[in-house]
Amino acid sequence: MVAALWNNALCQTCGARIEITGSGDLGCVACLLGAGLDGMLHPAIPSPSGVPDSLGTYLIGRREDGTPWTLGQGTMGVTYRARDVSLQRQVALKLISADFARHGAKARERFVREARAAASLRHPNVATVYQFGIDEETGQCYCAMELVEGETLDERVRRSGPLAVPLVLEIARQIVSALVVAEKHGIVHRDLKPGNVMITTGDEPDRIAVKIIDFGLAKALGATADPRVLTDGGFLGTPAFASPEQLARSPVDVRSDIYSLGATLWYLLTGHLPIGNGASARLPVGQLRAAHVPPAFSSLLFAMLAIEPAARPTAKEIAGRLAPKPRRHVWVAVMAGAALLIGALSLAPHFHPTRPAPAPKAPLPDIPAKTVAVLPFENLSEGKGSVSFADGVQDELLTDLARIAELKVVSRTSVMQYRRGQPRNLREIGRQLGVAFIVEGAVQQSRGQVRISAELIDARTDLHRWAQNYVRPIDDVFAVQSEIAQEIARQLDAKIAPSEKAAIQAQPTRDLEAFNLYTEANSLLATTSLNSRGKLSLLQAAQLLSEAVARDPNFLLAWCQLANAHDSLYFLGFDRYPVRLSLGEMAVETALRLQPDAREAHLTRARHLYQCYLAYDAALAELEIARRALPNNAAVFTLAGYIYRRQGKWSESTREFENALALDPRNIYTLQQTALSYSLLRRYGDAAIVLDRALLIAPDNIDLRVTRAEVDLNWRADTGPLHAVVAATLAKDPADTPTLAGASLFLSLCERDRAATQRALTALGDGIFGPDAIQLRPLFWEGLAARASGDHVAALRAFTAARAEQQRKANAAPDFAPALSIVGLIDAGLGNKAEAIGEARRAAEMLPISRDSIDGVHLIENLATIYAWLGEPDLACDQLEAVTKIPGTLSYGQLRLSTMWDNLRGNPRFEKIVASLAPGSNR
Amino acid sequence: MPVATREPNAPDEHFVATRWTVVLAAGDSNLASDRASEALSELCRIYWRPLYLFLRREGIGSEDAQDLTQGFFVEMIRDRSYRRADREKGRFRSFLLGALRHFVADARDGEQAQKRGGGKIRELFDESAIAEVEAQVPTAQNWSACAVFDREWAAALLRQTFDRLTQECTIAGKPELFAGLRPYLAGTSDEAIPYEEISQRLHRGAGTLRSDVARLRTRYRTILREEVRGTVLEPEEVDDELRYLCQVIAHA
Repeated sequence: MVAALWNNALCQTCGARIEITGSGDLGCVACLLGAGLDGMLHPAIPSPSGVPDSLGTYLIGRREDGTPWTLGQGTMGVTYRARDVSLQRQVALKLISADFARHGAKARERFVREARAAASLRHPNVATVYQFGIDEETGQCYCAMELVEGETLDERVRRSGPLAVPLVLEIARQIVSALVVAEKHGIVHRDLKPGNVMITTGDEPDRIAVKIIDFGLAKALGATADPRVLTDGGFLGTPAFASPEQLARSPVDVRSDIYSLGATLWYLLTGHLPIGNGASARLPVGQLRAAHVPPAFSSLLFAMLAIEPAARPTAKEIAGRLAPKPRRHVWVAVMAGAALLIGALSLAPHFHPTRPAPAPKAPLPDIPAKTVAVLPFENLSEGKGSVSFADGVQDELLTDLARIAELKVVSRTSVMQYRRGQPRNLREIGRQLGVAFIVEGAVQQSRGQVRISAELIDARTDLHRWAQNYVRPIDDVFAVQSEIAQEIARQLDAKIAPSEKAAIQAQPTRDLEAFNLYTEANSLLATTSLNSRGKLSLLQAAQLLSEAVARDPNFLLAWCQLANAHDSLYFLGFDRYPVRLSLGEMAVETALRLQPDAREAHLTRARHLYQCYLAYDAALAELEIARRALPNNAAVFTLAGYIYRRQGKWSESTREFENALALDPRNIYTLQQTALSYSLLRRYGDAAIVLDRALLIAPDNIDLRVTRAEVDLNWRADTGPLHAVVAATLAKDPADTPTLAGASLFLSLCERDRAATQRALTALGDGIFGPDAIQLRPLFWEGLAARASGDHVAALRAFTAARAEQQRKANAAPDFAPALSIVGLIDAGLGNKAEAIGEARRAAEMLPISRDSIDGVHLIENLATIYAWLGEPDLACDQLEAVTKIPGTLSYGQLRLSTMWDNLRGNPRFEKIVASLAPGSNR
Repeated sequence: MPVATREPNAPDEHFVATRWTVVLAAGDSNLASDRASEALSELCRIYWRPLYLFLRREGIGSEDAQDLTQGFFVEMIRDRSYRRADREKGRFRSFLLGALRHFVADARDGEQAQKRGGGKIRELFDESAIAEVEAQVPTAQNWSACAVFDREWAAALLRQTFDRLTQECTIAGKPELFAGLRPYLAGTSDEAIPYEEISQRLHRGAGTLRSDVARLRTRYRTILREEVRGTVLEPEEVDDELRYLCQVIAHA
């Protein structure tokens, strides 16, 4: 470790940013702390006079002034240029730090053993180790390696600044190819960093050669007699590039090198280290943006830098994602391993220089030409509904294009982020979406006429391929759309099958007002979230769609979306009255009656079977029909992901979400659902990464920000981020108070902040809040808040009122287990022990985990709460032990902070359960 | 570099009573302990900055944060609330943050409001110290409150280490030498040290400077470990605590 020099910016040792602290300007805090660690301090390097002339058959080179020819210096020793007099070749000779020899014969034996393993690694990108040896006389350990002429990556960055993306990609490919082989041999580098990678001079990616040096040396020198440590090795690396498990001295394997490689690549691209801000372990993604790193490459780096080793991709997977893909594979994102969700698109199509390289003159070869994104159309009209109309035109065009099997069309959700209002960089958008072509347009309505202009642009070259203006009577708008769709297909040389042509030419409705209502409802449905306003959005959408189908009873898509709205209200527990089920049922049947073969109708029926009956197999069968007809529809994959998740088939569910994201890479809702899956699996690090990716797309999305902050609360019992999000959001716009009511309520109860609880209850109004189908009404929360503050009279009053209200709900939906379970919770609050336990047990039997892996778990959690409140801690702990061992929402943060569990605090079994969920508890 | 071999029973890590162990022992005894109070006062003098910045990061205004920090220490010393210290955890850092949170929660309920200047350590804050810390408040927004606390805790440890080392060098009549070599304390090699330049500046031979660097580094490390030792219960925890703080800095 060389000295931590101050340059008012970066530490020259570890590359970390040097920041002034509340205790003044101290220099690099990381290096200064590291210097205090056991084993980190070493005697000064041997003085020149202390360097032997030769070791074994190696003659150490000298400069003209007689001083030894030093090539470099690291934590393990000094490397000299030397000559193998026996084989007559130049080598790099590393003299291991002198005091290593003082650790006895056993240490030296281990050194030789580990060194032999490292020497067995032969790869063009690894500096070959020729020999490890120990000088018998002095005990000096040394290592002779292939002499690599050039400079280290660290030296390169310091000399010329951050490297160009294509160059870094090539470096990454070469390093990874070495790691793939090392993994096969079970060899871990343990100190992979820019200073340990040599690069031959040159800036062209096709002319450089990369060599990793010191492979395996860290273990050879860090091994001890302790078997655990023998496996682990000690921490030798520069802290900044070391993996979290290395710093924690946990066992390390090749995944540790993957992390270090991620940090190294980050450094090469940005000149900075991926050191996040705050306890959330959030990566400073702005650095990558500033360096114009393509999103897909960024995603790969995020995955490599996952805190949890299991979340990182393997070397082989990285190699696969870095390798150029044949065109036909581009859209087939075969992702092995759940962690790869993070960058669900194959990287190859995105890996093009954005900054340093000149603009490509020819189309880039590995983005398929028949890929297109239809960006939101500009609305040039005035008046209510005109924006929706323009959206509708774009949506219909997008839908028409998506019917053509030969074309790959980016889904609506991913493109809606590129609304007009700010300059569009089409090349960048093309890269982000992985498409070769982009459609832009504008819509204007005037005196019964509609004017639509459309342009097809080659995003790879920024050149117009085709443009056309249409002025038609407004009733012909759908005909214009189908004309545009067919023209685009022709321009892209995509064949249209007869059935596809028929579908494109079919008009969704002849009633423009109905179409407007449908478009408006679509916007509501697309952005409905699970916050306390979700019910309102769904009800509004259902109303709009009811009006649409009243105007045009043959409007198939409106019937499908109407079914979707009703079914969601029913499924999410917002309205479990049978009439809601019937309304959904009727809409599905109408859609199927109108067009029995329509793909959208089958997709709708699949959703209905799943949401209303939990009929998983039937839903999947129906979905298969839709999938065959809509091979590129992300919604099909997303729905399959939901169904598998409910079934507890986590890997299948994850795979479906991956597929959906491959087709719809910027769909923040799918990203959010993916993150929620990770949270249920208690893989909070991965959840955070996915949410950070979503926040890059939609930084102001409140639900995303809350979900991200909740990860920290669940993961580490840290309420700080959620507090900050709530405060910042409300400071920006107090109108968001109702949206945040649920999160604020939960937060205030965790923090025992009575005043904040009251404010949150006021904001909640008559909204409903709770996990999934456990939709708890305001009176329950009032009771809980009063109970938590010791106001038993108020608690009794609120719970009594809540019980009457909830009993009515349960009576109305006798088959809906969550409603009965909530009655049990309220009875527990009232002290009705026998009733409460009976109700909660009955509910859990009605909907066991085997039938619903999400709500089923909630019902067991409720039972545990009831036992806890009613003085049955052992029974409560029995339930908690069961549900904390399987995926679920119950987390370390919730158990540690929530007022729900206050009765169990101090109970050894409970505390043990809490501890078992704590970060780093090696569950 | 053999890291797996620990320095066995290094004297600095095994002196019998650290400030923190004295405080904990007083907590056990149920007897008033001036020694514990003094030790605690000293710890507070060193570590008030992390607490103050934590409160500022939590959105508490400067005046209130000063009140709360001061009040917290005053109450802790007066009421010997350190008796609640959790032996299981054994980290002064964790204890102090937990205790502060409780104190703030109580204070927010209006039950334990403290006013400035009411305790033994009213000299804690002076305007320049507050200004120095206040300058970091905007930067602190980059991290969570807990991370701010841990980062500042690490900085306070280093500051105290530097203060002691400066004092020793001053007593030895070598303040300029220390100032000149201070940037190189964290290192283990001489590669990046411009000996010639320093030699000319300090009128000291390069060979002597090499020895100075080696000595100062050893002493720096010893003092740093002593300071960390003062905040943990067992000598074996020094490395863990340092490693934790390294991790906070590198990955927080």
